Amino acid sequence: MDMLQIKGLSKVYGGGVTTRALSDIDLRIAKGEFVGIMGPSGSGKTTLLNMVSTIDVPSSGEVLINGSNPYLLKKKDLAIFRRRQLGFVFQDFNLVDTLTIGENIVLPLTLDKRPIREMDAKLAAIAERLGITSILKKRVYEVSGGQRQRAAIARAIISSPSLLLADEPTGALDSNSSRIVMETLEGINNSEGTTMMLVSHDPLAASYCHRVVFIKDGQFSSEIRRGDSRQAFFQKIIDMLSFLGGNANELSSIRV
Amino acid sequence: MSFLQFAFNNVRRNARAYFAYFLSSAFMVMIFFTYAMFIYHPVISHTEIGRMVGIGMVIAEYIIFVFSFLFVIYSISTFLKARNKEFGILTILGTSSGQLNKLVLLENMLIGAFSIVVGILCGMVLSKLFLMLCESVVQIGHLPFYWPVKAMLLTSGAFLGLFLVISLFTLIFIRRNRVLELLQGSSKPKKEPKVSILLALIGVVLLGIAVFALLPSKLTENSLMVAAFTGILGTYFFYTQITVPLLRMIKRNRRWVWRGTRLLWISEMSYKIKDNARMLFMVTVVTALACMSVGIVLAENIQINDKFTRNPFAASYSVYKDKDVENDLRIYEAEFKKAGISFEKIKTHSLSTYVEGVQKGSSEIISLDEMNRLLEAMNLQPIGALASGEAVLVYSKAQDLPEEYKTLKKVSLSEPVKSEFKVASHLQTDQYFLYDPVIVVNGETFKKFQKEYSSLKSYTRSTRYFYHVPAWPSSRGGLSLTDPEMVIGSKIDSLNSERMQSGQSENFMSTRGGEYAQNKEVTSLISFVGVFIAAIFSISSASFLYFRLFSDLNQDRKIVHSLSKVGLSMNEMNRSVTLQIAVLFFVPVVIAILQTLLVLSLLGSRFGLGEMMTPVALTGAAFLGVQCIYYWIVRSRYMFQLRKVMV
Repeated sequence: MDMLQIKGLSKVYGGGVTTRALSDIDLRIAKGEFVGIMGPSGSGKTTLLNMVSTIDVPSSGEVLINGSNPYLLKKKDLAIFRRRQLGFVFQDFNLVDTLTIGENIVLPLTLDKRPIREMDAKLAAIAERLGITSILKKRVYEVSGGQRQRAAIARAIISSPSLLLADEPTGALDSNSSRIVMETLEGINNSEGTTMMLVSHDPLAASYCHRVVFIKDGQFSSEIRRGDSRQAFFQKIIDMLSFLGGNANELSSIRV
Repeated sequence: MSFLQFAFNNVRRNARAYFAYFLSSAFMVMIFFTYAMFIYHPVISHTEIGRMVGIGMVIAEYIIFVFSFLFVIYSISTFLKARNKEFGILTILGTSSGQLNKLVLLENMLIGAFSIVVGILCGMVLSKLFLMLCESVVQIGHLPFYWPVKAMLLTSGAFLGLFLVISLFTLIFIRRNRVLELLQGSSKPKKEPKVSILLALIGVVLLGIAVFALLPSKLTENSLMVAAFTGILGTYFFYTQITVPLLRMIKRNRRWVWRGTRLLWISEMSYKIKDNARMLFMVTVVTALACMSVGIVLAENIQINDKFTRNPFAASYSVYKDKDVENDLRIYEAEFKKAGISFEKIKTHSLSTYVEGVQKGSSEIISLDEMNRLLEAMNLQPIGALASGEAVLVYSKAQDLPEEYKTLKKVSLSEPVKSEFKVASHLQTDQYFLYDPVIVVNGETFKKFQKEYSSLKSYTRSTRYFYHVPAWPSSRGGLSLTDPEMVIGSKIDSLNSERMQSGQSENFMSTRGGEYAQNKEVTSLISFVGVFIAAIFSISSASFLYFRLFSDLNQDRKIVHSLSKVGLSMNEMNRSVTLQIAVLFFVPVVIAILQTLLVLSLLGSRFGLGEMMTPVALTGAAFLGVQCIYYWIVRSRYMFQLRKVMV
C-alpha cells in the first residue's frame, strides 16, 4: 500500500515573472519505505517537501497521504491532520526554548489533549528508544545539537505519524552527530516501520535511505536503489550527483 | 562618509526601528513642556489659587521627569539589545570601543534633540487646547495664550541633560558584552529563568512588613514610609523572584498543564514575566500610585458632598467679641436679603466641658430651649421636659464617637466645672452642627452653669448664630458651583475673611456653600493634575508593554512558524498568544488595584477618608477599561504579525 502518492504535481509561482518550480512530478512511497530526495540547489526539493507537508498548495496535480487528500481539508482540520498524520524534522530543530526537552517531545500530544498517563508512557518509551532519557528534564540550551535533533525526531514520531518528513536533518550537525541522527532515523524506520521522506544535500545522510530520487530543474531526473552495502550506495549517490552536472561546489563536502 | 554622517544615516535609514523610541520620547517632552507652560503662565503664577495650582504642577513636573528618565533608559536598553548584531559586525570590522561609544552617543543625542524639538512644537500646537481644558476644570479664570520662552528653555535644558546622562549610561550596557555574544544577538536559546529562594523569601517578608506597617493600630509617619518602601521593594521581588517559583509550582501540576495550549503559554509566560519583570514592576507601581491618588481624590469628593449634606445650617456665626456682632450680621445678612432669600436665625449659648471616663470626652452643654429650636429647624422631634439632674446626649453617627459614649447611663463632667447627670435619653441624628457632641440640660440648670462659668476663661463659653434657610435644604446633592447658595456663601466667606484680616471683626462666619465651593475648587485642581498624570502613566505603561512585545516579536514569529508546521492550528495560536499578552497587560493592573484597595482601606479608616470601596472600584474600573483598549489594539496588531507566518 502506498503511504504517499504524488500524481502529476506542478507548482508555478506567479508574480512579475512566472517561475515553474516543479513540473509533472510523480512519486509513490510505500508504507515503511525510507526515501531520499536529492538534487542541486534550486532543483525544487524544498518546494516538493512543502507540498507534501501541506504548507504550500500545488498548482496542479494531486498529493494523497495515507489515501486522503489534505488539500480538500479546511484550514483548521489541516492543522489537526498535520499533527496526527505527519511528523516533521527540521534542519534547525525548531524546539521551543521555554520548554524542557521532555515537554517539547510531548507537545503534539498535549495539543491533542491526550491523557497524561498515555503521554508519560509514550515519552518514556521513545526517550529510551532514542537514548535521550537522561536529558528529558534539561532545557534546550543545555544539550548538544545532536541531542536536540534526536529530541526533535522524538517529537515528530511520538504521535505515530503516517509519514515522517525530514528537511536537511543533518544540515546543522557535525559528522558524528549526523551519523547518530541518521542511524536513529534508520532504526525507527526498521523497528516501527515509519514511512520517511528525507530531503538532503548530504550524500552521506541520503545513503541511509532505501531509495533516492533525484530531481533537477523541477523535473524528475532519476532514481537509484540501495543494495546491501551502504558504502557502495553512497558512492553511487555521489556519482549520480556529479552526473547530474551541478558544479562540484554544489555538493556539500563529503564526510566519512 | 564622515563619522557624523554615518551616525546620522544610521538614524535616518533605521527610521522605522527608531520610530517608537522617538515617538515616546517626544510624547514625554510634550507633556513636560505643557506642565512647564502652566507653571510659568503669568496668570497662574500671580493669583492665589494659581499658586496652589502651580505647586501641584511643579510636583507633577518632577514626577514626569523621573518617569521620563526611567522610561527613556528602559526603551533605549531594549532598543540597543535589538541592535546587538549590528554592533558585533562593527566591532569585527575594527571599530574601536571609543568609536562605538561615540556612535551611540551621537545617535542618541540626534534622536534626543529631534524629539525635544518635535515635543515642544506639538506642545505649542496643543497648548491652547490644554489651557482651555485647565480653565474649565480648575475655574481659574481666563488663561490667555502666551509665548512660553522660559518653559521652552526649561524643557530643552532638562531633556538635553537627560539624554546626555542616559547616553553615557547606555555605554555601560554595550561594553559588558563580548563580540561573540553581540554577533549571536538574540538568536541563541534563552536560558532558564534563574531564581533565588532567599530573595523570594525576602520578597514575601517585605510584602508582609508593608501590610503589617499599615495596620491601623500602629500608624505613624515613619511606618507609612516603611510601608511604602517595603511595599515597592516587595513588588519588585514579586515580579523578579516570586513569580518564577509560583509558575513552577503551577507547572508541577502536569495533569492540568499538559493539556492543550497550556503547556505552551504557561512556560512562555514564566520567561516573559521574568524578562519583563522590571517593566511589569514599574507599570504596577505607577498604576498603583495613579490609582491611589485618583482614589483619594474621589474619596475626598465624596467626603465634601457628605460634609455638605450633614450640615443642617446654611451658615454659622461664632462670636468672640460681642461688640462686632451688630455690624457683622448687618453686612452678612444683607447678602441674603439682596438675593431675596429668607432665613431664620437661631442664637445659641454653649459651654464646653469634658465627660469623664470616655475617650474623646469633650462636649458642649446647651439649654433645652435652644436645643429644641435647633431641632425644630432640623425638622426633628423636640426633646421633652427635663428634671434638674437629668440630661440628654445629642450626637451624630458621623461624629465617630466611641461606642461607650453612646451607652452612657450617667455623665460625670470634670473640667472646668464638676457635676453629674443622669442620662434621660440618647438622641442620635443624621446631621450635626457642632464639632463635639451636645449635652442638653434644662434652663434652670443651664443658668446655674452659666453663673459658674462666667468667672472662667472666655473660651469655655461660646455664643453662636445658626442660619436656617428653608429654600436650601441640605439634602440636595451634586450641586454646581453656580448654585446661589455657593455664590452667596463664597461672597459671605470672603467678606468675613476681609473683615477679620483688616481687624474690623474678630468673629468667625462660616457658610456651608462657601466651604463646599472652596473644597470643590481644591479637589478639582488636584483631580486635574492627578488625572493628567494618571493618563500619562497609563499611556506610557502601555507603550512600555508595546515595546517589549514587539522586541520579542521576531522570536515569537519563529516559534509560531515552526509550530504551525508541526500542527498548531490558528485557534490554538490565537488562544496561546491572547493569554500571554493578556497576562502581561492585566496582571500589573490587577495587582495595582489590589494594592490600592489594601492600602486605601487601611489608611482610609485612619485618616477619616470614609468608605473607600466605591472610589477604588471606580478608579480601578477606569484603569482596567483603558487598559482593555490598549490591550485590544496591541493584541490585534501582534496577531496580525503572527498570522502572517502561520502556514
